[in-house]
Amino acid sequence: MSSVKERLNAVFQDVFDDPNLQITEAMTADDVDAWDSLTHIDLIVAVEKAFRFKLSTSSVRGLKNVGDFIALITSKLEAG
Amino acid sequence: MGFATPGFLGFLAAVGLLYAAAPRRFRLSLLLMTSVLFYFQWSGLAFTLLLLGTTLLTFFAARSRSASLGALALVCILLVGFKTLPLLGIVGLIPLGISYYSFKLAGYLIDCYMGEIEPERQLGRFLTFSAFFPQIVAGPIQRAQTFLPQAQSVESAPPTAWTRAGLRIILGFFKKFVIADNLGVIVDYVYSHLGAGSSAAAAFGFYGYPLQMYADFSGLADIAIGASLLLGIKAPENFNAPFAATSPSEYWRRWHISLTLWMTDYVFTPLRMSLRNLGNAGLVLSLFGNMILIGLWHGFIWTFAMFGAVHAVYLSIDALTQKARRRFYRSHPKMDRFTDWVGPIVTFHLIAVAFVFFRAGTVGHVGLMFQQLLTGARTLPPEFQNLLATAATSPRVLISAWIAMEVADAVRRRYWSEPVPLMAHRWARWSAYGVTVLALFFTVTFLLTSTRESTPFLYEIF
Repeated sequence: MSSVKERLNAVFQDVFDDPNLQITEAMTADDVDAWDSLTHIDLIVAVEKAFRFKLSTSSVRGLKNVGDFIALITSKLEAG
Repeated sequence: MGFATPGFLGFLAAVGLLYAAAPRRFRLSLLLMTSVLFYFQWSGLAFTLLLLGTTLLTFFAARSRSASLGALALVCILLVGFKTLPLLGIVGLIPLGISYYSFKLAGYLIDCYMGEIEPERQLGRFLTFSAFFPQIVAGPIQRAQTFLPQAQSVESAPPTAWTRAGLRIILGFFKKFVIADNLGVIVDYVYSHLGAGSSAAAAFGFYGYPLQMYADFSGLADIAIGASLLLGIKAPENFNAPFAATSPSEYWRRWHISLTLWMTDYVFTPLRMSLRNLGNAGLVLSLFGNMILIGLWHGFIWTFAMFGAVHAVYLSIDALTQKARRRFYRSHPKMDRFTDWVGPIVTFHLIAVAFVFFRAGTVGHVGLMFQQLLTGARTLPPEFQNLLATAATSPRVLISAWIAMEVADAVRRRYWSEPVPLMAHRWARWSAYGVTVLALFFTVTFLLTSTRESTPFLYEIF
């Protein structure tokens, strides 16, 4: 089983259609060309699909960088 | 007293000096009292009480989740209610600045409800947040998260604040009096003679209005941001070279930024999240909902809603084709550079089409404008030719003024947020001073020679 970060990296590559994209914890929307308020929700939907859980609007509002994504996914997976 | 008055400059200078001289413990009271005084003078007693009443209610309601929802409903009902009055034939009864302070209060209530911020405990700070006079006229819509800590520390304005604020306010007045008001004469002529003129005349209105709107509204933002700076408050930027945008979505990240960000956080994202299972249909529906609301925020008339809908069409196409376009550019890198040049031109035309809806006022006038644009006739009516031959409204002067404005803005953008902006390169510093002296000279000359009454800023009425 690959790590959350690796799985999330695949999601990012797919959503932003960039096979060379490598995520880092500190990466924000400013660092990825196509990451804006529109594609942000595409990202959420793709994360929900890949990790098989649902996210609430309030938990999504606080996501400012990739590290926040990883933390949120990890806590969701731990909660089962 | 709007911003476009000499009285405002005197008032601001007096408050700025008092703020600088006042001991720290009196500063917040000074900001609050002068803000209430400003609003009272501008809007009258009844509306001042309404502003203070809604703010008080918000302050106390934010402490409980259920009361927050009630207060949020009330703030929305008041805003919608006052905006509906003109539809019922009651005109002139709209509290000035209500669109701006309602959004500040609503955003604060939502943030408290969601647990993202702690409710403010100090009433004076919260009243100042809502009524802060540099921002109540026409924004920027500053969030509580960035305003309240500054109202708590009431820092002295930075040492360079008077120079920076002065340069910025002069730039704002230059944009307003030299560019916007004179372009406005041309645009008003075109829109008040619709249907009778040629394509050439209509083109002046078509191209002139977005430029007028930008000079007017960004000038207003310059004054608001400069004035805030004198009072120790760092305000958010509201514009970032919008006509350099290469796509409609980029345009909205550069135009009326504080409103776009507000709408993205409180309307678009929740809407998009709740419709995310609908796929692309959900995306398009959310964009339409968001953009039509942005249109209606300006007032409840059909053409504002249509303005929003036109932008929603642009943004939908932009979003739905994004992946395909990215792939295309990846395999054709040369085309990408070509688009860097063509993108802003195409985007500007799309924006200008949408602005016809914004300016025309009625659906009939929108039709007349497009009809006139497409007649192909090139002759200009003699009256219009006279207008273009007059110095102040001549293309020569307006284009020169526009270039001066862009240079000043480019220098300002580069050095505004530097920690010590006056340490900027010598050439940049002297260009800024040079352009400012010229701007001041032009503004004063135009004001002295103009026989027209000064018109209020366009966005002061929302």
